[in-house]
Amino acid sequence: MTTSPSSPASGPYLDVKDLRVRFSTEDGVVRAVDGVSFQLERGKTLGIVGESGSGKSVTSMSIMGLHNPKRTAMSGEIRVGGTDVLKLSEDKIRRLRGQAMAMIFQDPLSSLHPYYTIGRQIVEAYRVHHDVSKAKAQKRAIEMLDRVGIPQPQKRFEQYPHEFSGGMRQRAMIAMSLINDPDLLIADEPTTALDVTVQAQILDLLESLQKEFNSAIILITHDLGVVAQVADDVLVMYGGRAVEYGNAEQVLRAAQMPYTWGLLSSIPSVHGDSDADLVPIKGNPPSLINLPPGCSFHPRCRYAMLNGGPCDQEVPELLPVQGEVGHLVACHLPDQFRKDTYVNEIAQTGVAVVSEELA
Amino acid sequence: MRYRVRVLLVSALAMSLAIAGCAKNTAGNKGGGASGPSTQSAIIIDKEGKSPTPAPDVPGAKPGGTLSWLEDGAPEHLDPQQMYVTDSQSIGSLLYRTLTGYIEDPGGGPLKLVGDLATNTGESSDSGKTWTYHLRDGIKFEDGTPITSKDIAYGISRSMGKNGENGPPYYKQDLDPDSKFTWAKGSIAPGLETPDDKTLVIKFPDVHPEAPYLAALNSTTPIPVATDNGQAHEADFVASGPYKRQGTYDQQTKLTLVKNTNWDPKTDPIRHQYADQWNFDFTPDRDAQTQRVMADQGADQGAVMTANVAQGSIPQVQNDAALAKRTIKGVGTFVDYLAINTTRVTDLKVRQAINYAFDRQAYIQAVGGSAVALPATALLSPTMAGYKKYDAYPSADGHGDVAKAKELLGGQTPKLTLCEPNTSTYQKYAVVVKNALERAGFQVTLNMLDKTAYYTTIGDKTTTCDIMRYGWGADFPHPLSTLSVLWNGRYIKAKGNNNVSYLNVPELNKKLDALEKEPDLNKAAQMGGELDQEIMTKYAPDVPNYDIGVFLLHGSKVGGTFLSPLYANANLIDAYYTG
Amino acid sequence: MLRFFIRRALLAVLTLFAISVSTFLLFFAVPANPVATMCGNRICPESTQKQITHDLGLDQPLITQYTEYMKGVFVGRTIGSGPTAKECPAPCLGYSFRTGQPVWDIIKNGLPVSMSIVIGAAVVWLTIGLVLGTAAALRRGGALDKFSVGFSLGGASMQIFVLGPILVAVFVYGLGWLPRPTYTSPLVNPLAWATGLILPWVTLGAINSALYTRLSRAQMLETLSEDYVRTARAKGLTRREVNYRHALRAAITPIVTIAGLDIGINLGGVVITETTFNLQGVGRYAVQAINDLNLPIVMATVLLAATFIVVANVVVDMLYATIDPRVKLS
Repeated sequence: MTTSPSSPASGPYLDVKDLRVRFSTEDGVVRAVDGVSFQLERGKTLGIVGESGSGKSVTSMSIMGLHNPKRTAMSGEIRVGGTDVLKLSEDKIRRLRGQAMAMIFQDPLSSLHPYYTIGRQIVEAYRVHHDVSKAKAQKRAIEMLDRVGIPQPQKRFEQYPHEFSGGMRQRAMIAMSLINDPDLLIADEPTTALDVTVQAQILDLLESLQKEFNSAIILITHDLGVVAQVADDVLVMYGGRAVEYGNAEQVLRAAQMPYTWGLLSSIPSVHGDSDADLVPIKGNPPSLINLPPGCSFHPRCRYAMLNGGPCDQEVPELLPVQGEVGHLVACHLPDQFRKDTYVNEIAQTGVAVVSEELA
Repeated sequence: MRYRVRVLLVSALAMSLAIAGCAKNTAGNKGGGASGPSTQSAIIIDKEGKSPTPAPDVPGAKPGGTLSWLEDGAPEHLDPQQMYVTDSQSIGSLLYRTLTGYIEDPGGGPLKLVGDLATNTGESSDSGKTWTYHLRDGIKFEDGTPITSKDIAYGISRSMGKNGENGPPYYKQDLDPDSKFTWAKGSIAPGLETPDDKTLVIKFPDVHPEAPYLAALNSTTPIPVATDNGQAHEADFVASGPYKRQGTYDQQTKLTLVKNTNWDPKTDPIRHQYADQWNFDFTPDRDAQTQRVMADQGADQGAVMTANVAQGSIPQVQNDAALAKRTIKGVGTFVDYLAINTTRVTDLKVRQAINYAFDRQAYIQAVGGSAVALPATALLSPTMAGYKKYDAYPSADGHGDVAKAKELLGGQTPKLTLCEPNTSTYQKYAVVVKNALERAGFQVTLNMLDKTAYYTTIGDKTTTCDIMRYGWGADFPHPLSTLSVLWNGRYIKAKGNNNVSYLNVPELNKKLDALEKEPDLNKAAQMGGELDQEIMTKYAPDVPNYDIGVFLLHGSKVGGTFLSPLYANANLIDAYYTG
Repeated sequence: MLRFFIRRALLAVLTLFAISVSTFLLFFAVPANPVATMCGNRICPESTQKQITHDLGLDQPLITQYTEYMKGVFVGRTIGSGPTAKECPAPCLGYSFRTGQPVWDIIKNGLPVSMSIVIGAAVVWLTIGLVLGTAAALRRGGALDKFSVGFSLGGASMQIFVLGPILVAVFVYGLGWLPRPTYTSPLVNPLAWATGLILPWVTLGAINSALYTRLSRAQMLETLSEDYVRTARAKGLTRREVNYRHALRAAITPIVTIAGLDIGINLGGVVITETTFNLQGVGRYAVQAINDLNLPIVMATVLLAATFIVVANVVVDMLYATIDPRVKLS
C-alpha cells in the first residue's frame, strides 16, 4: 500500500476518454458531463475552466470516484496510471483516493472537520494509507505543515480549523492532500475563497510543490487569470461538454470559441479602465436537464448562426483548429471568421493581461 | 372517624367518568349492588369480660404465607395517637392494642365491644364519670417489656398534645374541657390515675357512658415514655399487637410487618396471627389495584384492595362468578347528606318539599351506580348500632315525588342557594340536585365554593348557603357520635360547626342530651334509631343522600377476610393465606 | 471557563430565587386554607386550627415566612415555638403539612425514583433515536428510512398514559414476562431495579425516541452533505470511518445538547410516567401536594424542577463547549 501505482513508461498519467456522467433526480436526468476527453502528464497542470454547472467539478469528482454510484450513471474511461478507475470496486478506488490522487477544495473552512484538530485530520489522511505509528505520522504531518509554509507547525498541529486564517487553512488542506505524495492533485477552485494576495501565494505554493513532487495537477477554476498563471493545458467546458481544448498559449492567446472569448472579456484588466473593460457574458448557464438544442451556448452567443443555421440544430464536434496542433474547438463558426473576430474584438481586452502574465 | 379524603376524591372523579351502562337500581337493591341491612342490631358489650382468649380460630384458617395490602398513597399517620383515618386504623388493628376493642362478625352480626388490654369494657362508678380498667396478665410490647397502666395513661395524655393533634378530639374535650392541660413529654393528663401497674382509673368531669367506646380509640394505645420520639414515632413505632414493623418505614411507598413474637394470643380476645408477613404497598392507584387483583398473579394472590374496583371494571366483576367470589362489598360507614340551613329555610313544609323533590336515584347514578353508592333515607349509617331503616319521604321509583312536593309548596317558588365544593365532580352533582328541585318549582342558584375553604365557609353560622352537601362518618358505634354532633343545637358556635343545618330545637336537644347520658349502651343504640326517624319526620333538617358503598376485591389466596363494619376496609385480623 | 461558570451560577441562583418567590406568592394568592385541608373532610375545632396554624408558622407575615424558609434551606431553623417547636436541620425544606414528615426525606425518597426513570429512559431514547435515525439517513429512501419516518410520526402522537398501560397489560398481566413496575434501589438489587423499571423506560424512551429518530436522521443527512465529509471520503477513508468518525461525530453534537435539556425538563416533569406506573417519585409527590395545598412540598418540588432545568442548561452549555471546539465559554 505504500507504493503508488506505477504509471506506464510512456503516455499520459491521466487519460480521460469520452466521459459521460448522468444523475437521476426528481426533476429528470441531469447530463452533467457529456463526452469529455483529455490527457494529463505528470509534472503538468491542466486548467479546467467554466462557469458553475459546466461540469468541471463533476468531472473531477468522477476521477476521484466520489459520486454516489446508486444515483450516478457513468461511461467512458478514466485511466489513472493506466488503470480505469470507472471499473474499480469502491474499496479499490478508495485505496487510490488520497494516495495516488488527492483533492483540495474551494472552501477550506467547510472542507475541514470543525471538531478535529488540523493535526489529527492530517495524521488520519496519512495513516489510512500508511501503517505507521501515531508518532511517526505526527512527525510527517508537522513536516508537511512546515513544507506548505505554516509557521510554528508544532503549535498549529494542535489547533482547530477555526483558529486558522483562510490562507493558512488552504495551506493545511494542501499539506493534507500532499502528505501521501499523490501523482495527481485535483484543486477545485483552490483560491476562490481567498484574498487576491493570498491567492497568488497559494498558486505559487502549488507550482513549487509540483516541481518538487512532479505531480500532475488539475486546476479547476472559473478564473482564466488563475489559469494563465499556472496551467500548461486548458480545457474550457460549457454545459457538460468540452468546447475548447489546447495548451495555455493556444487557448488564452488565440481563443477560438465565443464562450472562451466571453470568459476572457470578463477578466478585469489590471492596466486599463476596469469598468469599461469588463464585459460579462450575458444570460445564465444552461440547465443540464434541458440543454438547448445544437450548440448549447447558442442562446448566449453573439455570433450564433441561426435561422436554419447549424448553431441551434447540430451539436458542434470538438475539431482541430487549422494550423494549430493540439488546439481543439467545438464551434460551427468558420475558422477564419473566428480568427478575425478574436484579433479584432477580443485580443485588446482581457487577453492583454493574460498575455503579459504569460510572457 | 374521617373518611379517606384522597380516596374519596379520586374515586368520585373516576366515577364521574363512567356512569353509563350501570344497571338501573331499584329500592330493593337486587343485582350486583351492595345492600345494607334493614336494621342494625344493638351492640354487644362484654361488660363481664367473658370473651374467650385466645380468640376462637377462624374456620379453615392456617398459619404462614404473605398477605398484602394495596393502597394509593401511604396513610398520613401511623403514630397511634395521630390515627383518625380508616386506612391507618385498619393497619393499626395489626400493630396496636387498645384498652377496649371490637370483635367484628364475619356474618354481619352486631359488633362486640370487649376488653382488649383491659379484662373488660370498664367498670363505671360515680354514675358514669369514673371508669376503672384492670389490665390482663402477660401483655407485652414487641421488645418484651410488660405493658403497664402507666403506658396507657401516657398514651391518652399524649393524644391530648402535639402528637395527637390529628387524632380524635374526645379525650381532650372530655378530660380537659377547659383546655387547662398543656402536654409535654412525659406528662400525664388530669383525671388519669394509675394506682398500680395493672389498674387505670379515668375520671371525667362529666358523665360519659360512652367511655367504653372511647377506650377503643387508638388514643389508648400504650406508649412507654422512653420510646416517645415525637414526630419520629410515625415511622419508628412500638407494636403491641400481633405484628411489628420489619426494617425501616419510608412513610411513602411500603411497609413490611412480621409476626411479633412477644404478642401472646392467650392475652387477646380479638386478634389472630395467621400470615407470616404483611406487605403494605402504598403505590397503586385505583386502576392499578383493580388490574393487579383481577389479574391475580404471584404475590397479588394474597392482596386486598383499599380503593373500590375501578368504575369500568365493576360490571365485569359483577358478572364473573370467579371474581364475584373474591369481592368484599357492602355499605361503608360514611353517609352523604344535603344539609338544609334551618335558620334560612325556616318553613318545615319547604324542607319536606325539598326531601320529596330530591331525585336520589339520579344522584346515585351520577356518583357511579349502586355498587359504590346506596340510597340513604335515614340519617344514621346502616353500620351504626341501632340503625333503623325508614323512609320519611318515600317515592315510588326512588326519583322523588314531585306532586307531593308541589302540594307542600302550595304554589310557592322558594329561592334556594345550593353550596357545593367547586370541583368537576361536585359541579355535576350540583346540577343533578338543581334539576330535581326545580321540577317542583324551586328556584335554585348554585354557589360553588373553593374546595379547601368549603367546610370553613359552611361551618360559619352566618353562612348564606341554604342547602349544602355534607358528609359524616361516625367515630364509634354510639348514635350520639352522629346525631348529637350533627343535630344537637347546644353545640352550635360561631364558626367551625358540624351542625350545618343549624338545627336548634330545645325539645330535640333535650332528647339528645338524654341519649348522651344513657348509661345502657344497648338502650342508647335503640334510642338512636328512633330519634333518627323522629328528626327526619318532625324537622327534616337534611336530605339523606347516599351511603358510600364498598366494592373491593381480594386475591384468590386470601381467606377469612370480610368487610370491616368499623373501617369499611377488608378485615385484616381474621385474614389468612390459603396457600 | 471559570468566569463563565461563575456567571452562570449567579444567574442560576437568581432564577431560582425568582422562582421561589413567585411560587410562594402564587401559593398565598390561592384563596385557600391549608389548615382546613389538613382537617380532612370535617371541621377542626377552632383551637386546633389555631394551634396548627401557629405550629406551621402560617400566622407569621409572608415575608418572615419566606425568609425563614430560605434560612432553613441553608442553615436550618426551628419551626414553631414553645413546647411544640421542631428542630429542622439544613437543608431544611420544612415539614409536610399533611404528615409532618420532613420534606427533605420525601425528596430523598422520591428523587432516586424519578432520576432512575428519566436517566434509564434517556438511555433508551438516545440509543433508539441515534441508531434508527443514523441508519435511516445512511440508507435514505430505503425500507428502514420509511419505517423510521413512520415511527417518528407514530411516536410523536403516542401518549405515555396510553402506551404505558398497554405495555403493562401485555407484558405483566398477559404474558407475565415482566414484574409490575416497581422501584427497587439499584444499591440493594440492581437486577430488580432494572426489571422493575424496564416498562417505564421503554414507554418514556420509545415515545421520546420518535423525536430523536427524526432529529438524528435530519442531522445525519445534513452532515452527510457537508464539505468535510466529502473531504474525508477524498482522503480515502472507509465508508465506516466517514460515516461514524466524521459525519456522526458532527451530527451528534446538537442531539447531545437537546438531550441534556430534555433530561432536565423530564426530571422536572416526570409526573405522568410516575402516575401511569404508580411509581412514587418526586413528580407524584408534587401533584399530591398541589391537591393538598401542601406548601412545603410544592415549594421543594417546584424548586427542584427549576434546579434541574437550570443545571441542565449550564451542563449543556459546558458540554457543548467540550464537544464543539468552536464554542468558547465566556
